[in-house]
Amino acid sequence: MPESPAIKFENIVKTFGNIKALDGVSAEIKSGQLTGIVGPDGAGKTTLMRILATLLHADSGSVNIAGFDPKTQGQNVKDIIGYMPQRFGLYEDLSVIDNLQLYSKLRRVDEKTREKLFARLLEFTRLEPFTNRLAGALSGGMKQKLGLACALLGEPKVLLLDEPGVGVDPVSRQDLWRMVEDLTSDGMAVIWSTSYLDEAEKCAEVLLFNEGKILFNGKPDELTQTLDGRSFLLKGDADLRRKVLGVALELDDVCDGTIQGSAIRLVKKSNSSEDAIIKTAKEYDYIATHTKPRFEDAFVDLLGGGPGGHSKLADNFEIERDISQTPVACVNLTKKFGNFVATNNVSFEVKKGEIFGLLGPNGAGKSTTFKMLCGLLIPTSGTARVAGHDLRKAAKEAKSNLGYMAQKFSLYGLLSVGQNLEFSAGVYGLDGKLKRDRIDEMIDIFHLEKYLSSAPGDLPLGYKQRLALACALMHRPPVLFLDEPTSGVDPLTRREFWMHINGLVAKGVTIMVTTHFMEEAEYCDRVAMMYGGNLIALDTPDGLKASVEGKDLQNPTMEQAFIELIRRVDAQKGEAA
Amino acid sequence: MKLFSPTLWAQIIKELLCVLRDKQARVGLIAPPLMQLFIFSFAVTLDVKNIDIGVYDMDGGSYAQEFVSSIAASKFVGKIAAVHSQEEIEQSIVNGKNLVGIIIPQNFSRDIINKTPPKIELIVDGRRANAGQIVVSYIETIANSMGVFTKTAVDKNPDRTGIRYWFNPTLNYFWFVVPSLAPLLVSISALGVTSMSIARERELGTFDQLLVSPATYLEIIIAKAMPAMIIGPPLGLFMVFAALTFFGVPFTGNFFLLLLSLFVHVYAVIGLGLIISAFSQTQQQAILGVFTIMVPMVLMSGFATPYENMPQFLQDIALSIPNLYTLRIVQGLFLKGQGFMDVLPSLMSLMIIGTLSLTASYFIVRNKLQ
Repeated sequence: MPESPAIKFENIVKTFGNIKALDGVSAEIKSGQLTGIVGPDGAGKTTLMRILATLLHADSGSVNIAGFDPKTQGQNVKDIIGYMPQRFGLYEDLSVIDNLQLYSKLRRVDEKTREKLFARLLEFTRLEPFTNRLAGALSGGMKQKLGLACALLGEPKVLLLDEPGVGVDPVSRQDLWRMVEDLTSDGMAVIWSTSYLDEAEKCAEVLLFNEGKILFNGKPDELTQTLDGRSFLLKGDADLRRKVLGVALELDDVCDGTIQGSAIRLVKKSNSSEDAIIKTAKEYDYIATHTKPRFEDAFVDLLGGGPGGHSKLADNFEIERDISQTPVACVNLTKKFGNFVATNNVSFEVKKGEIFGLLGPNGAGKSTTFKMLCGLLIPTSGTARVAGHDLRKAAKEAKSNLGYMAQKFSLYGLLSVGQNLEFSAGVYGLDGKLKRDRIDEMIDIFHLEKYLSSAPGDLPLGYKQRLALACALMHRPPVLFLDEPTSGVDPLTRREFWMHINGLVAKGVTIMVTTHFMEEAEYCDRVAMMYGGNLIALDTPDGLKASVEGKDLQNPTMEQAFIELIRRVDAQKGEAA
Repeated sequence: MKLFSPTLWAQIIKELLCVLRDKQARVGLIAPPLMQLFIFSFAVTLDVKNIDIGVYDMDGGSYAQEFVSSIAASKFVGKIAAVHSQEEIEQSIVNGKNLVGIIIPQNFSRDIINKTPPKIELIVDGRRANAGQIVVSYIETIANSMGVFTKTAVDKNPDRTGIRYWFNPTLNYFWFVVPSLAPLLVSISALGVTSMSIARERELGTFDQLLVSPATYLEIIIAKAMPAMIIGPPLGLFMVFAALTFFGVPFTGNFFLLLLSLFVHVYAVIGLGLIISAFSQTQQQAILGVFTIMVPMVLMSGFATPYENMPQFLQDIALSIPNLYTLRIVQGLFLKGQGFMDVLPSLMSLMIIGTLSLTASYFIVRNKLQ
């Protein structure tokens, strides 16, 4: 049973320069349950975590951790908390057991109990078979588990986990959740921060952060309940779904909408009628049914609803070069690094105007494959073609036909926004009046006017995303490569981004996207799932879900389908061995 | 008409902006060379100064006194102390009190009067061979002038050596060091700018963005070479200007030839910078790389110690160092009044080094993709 609050903070304010990271937040966090700190990047999650871990002091406001004030009684607080930062400070050149030894000494764990504790933690994290492996040689998920084990060495009362799910594949993430559930049932207060909104639904309580403020504090169900009767699922001709979504989002009564596999999810505004939604659905032979609201629907509603469905970017966009019907293709694509086969004999073709997703856990080979397709890596064998050009033989022609948006924000920080636009236009061969026009068009569409002389690094997150998209599209490429385009961004920015992408697709642009973000996979027409360097499945999102459906798994989510498909491959391997 | 394609032009602008808009890069480009100019000029002195000398004057005559006072009046002497025995003078050298001991024999004045060549004995601390050698030559000069002054027949003294230093008759240390600093400091700046360029883009993630664009590897290399090509020669000219005005070094060659040489020098250095950069994943690695090659580059180029004094295999290695050639050119232009044909071999060597290293960097950048 939850008892007295383990952590209580009131009116915390923390500023960095002129940025308010935390703007007067207050909450109580209880023992014996999992509290989620949920919000997009830059919302203030990490700042709060670091204040609770005594690594930062608040400018004002009070913090109380199990009766201690971290400002004056920092040592007492340190003795009862375990903190796992986004990248836990594992010593990569030490083995798993050496890392545990080191951290147990740092935390002054009694020598007699040490061995027992190690045994318990290793069993708990299922790392026993790897005790002598170097930490640097562990997978992302195993590193995270070892980090968790190290954070648990002092047997803390409060455990702070800062985005433990980042860079961890769904299988390992499931493991982490299981471990955290065990810990909370022992009475520990666990705080899990995340930018994945679907993770919020698994928490007992949630603090929903946006721009340094807490938008919601309570059980996730309480929030989603406010949307009861407002969420709809529209099903019909899948080829029309993007168009229908675009039309629906322009309706006054619609607050939010996304693509979900072959269906459309719509949320209507509160106190408005559903007639318009049903009417629009009928026009396109779609059937609208009520569906269970999701946490993300509620978040967007709290933020005042998503953007419209009309992309100004797509309006003017005409593909200049008519390209073949298979804009992206690879045949027997293989990449070896030494003895390690990163991509093993992968072949597929992407159709014109298709959104094609590459999905897979870390190290599955999706990045390697993606890089070979856009010319960043040279294949060991096999061919990769973009717009009919072999990337090896006609790199320049192939590259002029593709736009690329990197996962990490990768514009020139030393150049101003305007200079970045100039550079991107120029490097793709635009010149003179055409170049001017295209730049002005982007400034107009994305409202970049007032930021032209700012450094890109100082832009709000949403504008960074817009600028990156603008830079990738000025030469109007028929193929657009997106590498994890919206990880960590807030749902409004993500919706705006996909609104533009949907518009571009309608104009015949082909999209290649990598993602480990299950919701993003739902936007795709087809998804290629990679595991261990192999292409293990290639189908529509709904097709993938249907392929794993069975007695034990009804109406699987994308994530469940993903885990199941990987499990089947592992099981097969087990049989073969 | 445009000189470059839009693709290349956009990259060149980008590279220049990256250097010029970065406050740290700006300061890093200008401040250290200026500091080094003055530190190298004044602190790293090869001159011999403040030398303490012991004199055991057994003669005591007027000529002996005149000889001692003219030594005492020279600039290189610190303290001059009279000693009173052979033992004492030896002891003062052994314990490091004096660098040189002068023993003036009893018949010194008499020899001068009798027009027989006078003799003095010099004891030098061989532990400081370099300084000792220079001091001996200074004292010899003074002794020679004494001989002239006393009108003792110069011809009659076959032992006496007369040394004249060509091109730098007063052996003014600045005349040698300050012009040589120009290529050295230009290479530091050029290496700094180019070695950062690819490494910075890798570290910040913009390099992938560049590689997926239609920009070719050749264009990337050309664009990355540009900032150093534009900034390096003017920086060198500034050093030369400082040499001419502030340090009063005479310039006897052709100014345009000097400018051309500076361009060719930068051309030779940037290839090395780009090789470092192509291997570096982060800017930190690039800085380490620059330091790793900078020190041997300076030491082996003939700036600090004579090139000819190195063992043969080091001399062979040093042939790949651009500064070796540029030093020859600059000294030739400053002090020897050399013309185009004189410096052509050195210019050719620089062109070869630059072309080879730039080609190497091109292949390294390309092969990093494999």
